[in-house]
Amino acid sequence: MNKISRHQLAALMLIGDAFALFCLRGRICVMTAVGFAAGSLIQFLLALPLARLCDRGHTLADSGRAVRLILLVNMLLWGGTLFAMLREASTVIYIPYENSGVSGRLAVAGLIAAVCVYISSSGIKALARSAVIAAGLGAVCVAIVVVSALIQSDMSNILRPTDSTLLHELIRGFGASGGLGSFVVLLSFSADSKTNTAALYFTCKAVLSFVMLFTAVIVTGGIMDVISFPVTSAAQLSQPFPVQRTDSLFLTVFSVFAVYTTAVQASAAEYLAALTVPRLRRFRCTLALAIMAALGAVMRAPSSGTAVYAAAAAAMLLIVPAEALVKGGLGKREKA
Amino acid sequence: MTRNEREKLPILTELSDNIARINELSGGSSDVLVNRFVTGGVECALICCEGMVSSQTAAEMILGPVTGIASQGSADELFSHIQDNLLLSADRTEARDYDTLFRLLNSGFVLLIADGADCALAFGVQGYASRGIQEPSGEGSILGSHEGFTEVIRTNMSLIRRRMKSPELVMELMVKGERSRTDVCLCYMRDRVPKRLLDRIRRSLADIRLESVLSTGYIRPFLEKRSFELFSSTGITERPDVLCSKLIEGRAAVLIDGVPYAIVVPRLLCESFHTLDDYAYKPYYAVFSRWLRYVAFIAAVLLPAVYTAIVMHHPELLNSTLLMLLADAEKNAPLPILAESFVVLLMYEMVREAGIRLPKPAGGAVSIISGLIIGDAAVKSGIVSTPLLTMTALAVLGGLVVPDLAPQVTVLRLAFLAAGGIMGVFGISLLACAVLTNICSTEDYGFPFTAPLSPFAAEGMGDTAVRLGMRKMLRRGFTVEAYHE
Repeated sequence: MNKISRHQLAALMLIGDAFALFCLRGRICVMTAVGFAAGSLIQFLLALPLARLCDRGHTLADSGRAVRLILLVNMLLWGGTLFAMLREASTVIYIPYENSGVSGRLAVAGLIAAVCVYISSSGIKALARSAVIAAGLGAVCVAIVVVSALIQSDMSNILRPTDSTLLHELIRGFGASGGLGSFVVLLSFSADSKTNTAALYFTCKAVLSFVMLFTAVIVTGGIMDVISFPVTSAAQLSQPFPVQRTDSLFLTVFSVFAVYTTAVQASAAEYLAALTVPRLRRFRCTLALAIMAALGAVMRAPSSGTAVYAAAAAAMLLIVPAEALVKGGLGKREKA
Repeated sequence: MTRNEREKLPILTELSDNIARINELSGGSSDVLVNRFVTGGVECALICCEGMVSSQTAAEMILGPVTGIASQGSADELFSHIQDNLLLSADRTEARDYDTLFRLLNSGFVLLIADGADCALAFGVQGYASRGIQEPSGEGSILGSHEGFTEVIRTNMSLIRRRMKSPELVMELMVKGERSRTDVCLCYMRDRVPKRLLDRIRRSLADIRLESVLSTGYIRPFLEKRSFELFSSTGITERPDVLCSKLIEGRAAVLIDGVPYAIVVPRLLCESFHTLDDYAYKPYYAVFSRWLRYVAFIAAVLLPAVYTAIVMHHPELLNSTLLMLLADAEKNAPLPILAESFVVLLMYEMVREAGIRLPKPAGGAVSIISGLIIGDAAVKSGIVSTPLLTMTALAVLGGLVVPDLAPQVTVLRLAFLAAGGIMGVFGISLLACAVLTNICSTEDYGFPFTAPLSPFAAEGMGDTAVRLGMRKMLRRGFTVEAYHE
């Protein structure tokens, strides 16, 4: 099996999380940043049984067909959601031809899918290596945006009154973590200790979420009522130079992250499809992406605080260890 | 019996039959010279290929001593006497079949056959005309050696040996090409090269089934993966000093007779940005020039595409002064900017190709026609805008900074231009993802092409992101094995 390092796995997953934050809709406040960061730490606790199980040599091939099927369906649905997010985010980010009718949207979705097919077909190692470079470049661009945001920030936005609760923001944080299904799949590819891998990823996720959301709050806090995508709007408003716009930096990061997020979903779905439907030998990745794109065309991106998405994300972390626990219990009973 | 089978036959003992077989197999070729004579009471013949041997050396070192041998009982005794008592040449061997005989004959050996002997004695007295050692044409160095590889493999081997007097340096000679019978030499430092790498290279070389080997391009595909890779995972160099530095780092090299380049295995992307002068200058200047090359490469690939994308799709990214300047320049151009960019870039590629292929005196004329007449006239007549021409010139200049990657830069520049022109920055980003993945998937013999960047190897960054001082570099004791996955 192709192995990847924990840093590579973290980079793969963090790209998806950053993209989900770019496409985050609705009002945000400091409580949102806290809720997302705290949510990441809770996710780590939920992922610990899975990590321990994988450290003991458990792989998805040992899981039941039903579990793999649930994971696969989740992955396809989240892939579809990503396409929907991209479509909806293009109302505030200029993508040529995206707003020129159905044909334009189809062309953009097709192009992304084609690039994703190519990336996924190159294998998990190539995907992981390139994701590290993409994440590095993205981190530099995000750092520029954050620094320029700090210049134009208004710290009083932190203290703006809000009716949001920590529980509500926790649920939002879980709802934006649909990529956890692919984490479950990719964890078995990690060459390092799975527990350490999970610790690294969820810590980075907590920091990333907090920094991005906090920056967005201090930049866009005053205009939160009139904007749809706070993080994206914050990036667009953060211009480091007085006479020069740098939106293209953000557009580049947005596009690259969109492609990698989708490619990760497709690769994970392909791997699961190979385990679940072994008779399907060819075009697994293309088929997965076609389903995702089709779902994306009919789906809507999750609105603020969707409990269903949050529950699904949490369930993905627990389903494999839960099944192993049940199987273990049954095994003991049979022995007895 | 086929010709190949006849070539594998053992040498005939009857001298006349032997000569007749040689004539038959050579097709009566006029450059195969057979001189019959009698020495030591045995009928013999001296065979050589005209123009391949040094006549003076052959006369002094072989003809003189051999013809003066006292009477011997038989051909075997004669050959024993020559082998035991006469040192006719340092490079001497035997041929027991016609295949070997012809390979030696065509490599500049003089062959002695005798009536009653079942083998031929071969003496290396090569004297064919060859280009002397000259300065490398494509890998200039200011403070390094000015010697480059030449077409003769033995000379190239000596150029390496002269710089690496260590007994750990091993050179394995082999013959490749069913028809060309080209000498190929695998070089490596026995104590540095990873054993797995060496075994796999040997296997790859053993798999080569070619009629002829006329350039590095014949061998390289066999040393690389079969899948589509934009960048080559094997490198070439025409500098013996560069090759020695690669060998010390645990890489292996393949020399080919008739080719003034050596193939280096494995090659990493970062090596395309290294020059020998980096190690001659102070580290701070080496770091500066190295980063200049990184920036130049990115500019060479992306500058026309980004310019076109911004002008066509994202004019808001320009400040007002620049926007007015560009708008003013582009409004008079008759072609859409994407078409204009393609025309200018293709025009440059034509000029470059003409400059390479034409004889040198005509090359100067091409430069004058293209630079002064076409370029000046195109701008003055308004067919091409000045900013676009400036961007193209900068991109081309950037490409010249990294000549190693010229083919990739040329193709990627056009591909990115199309992506940027059609889909703007979004298109460039998508293509960048695909290209990045392709680069990251390039891996031969377990050495990722993008190391030490991804997968990250901290010990490699000392000679990639920066250039450490020589003492620190030597303390690292680095070999390429550190990148193996």
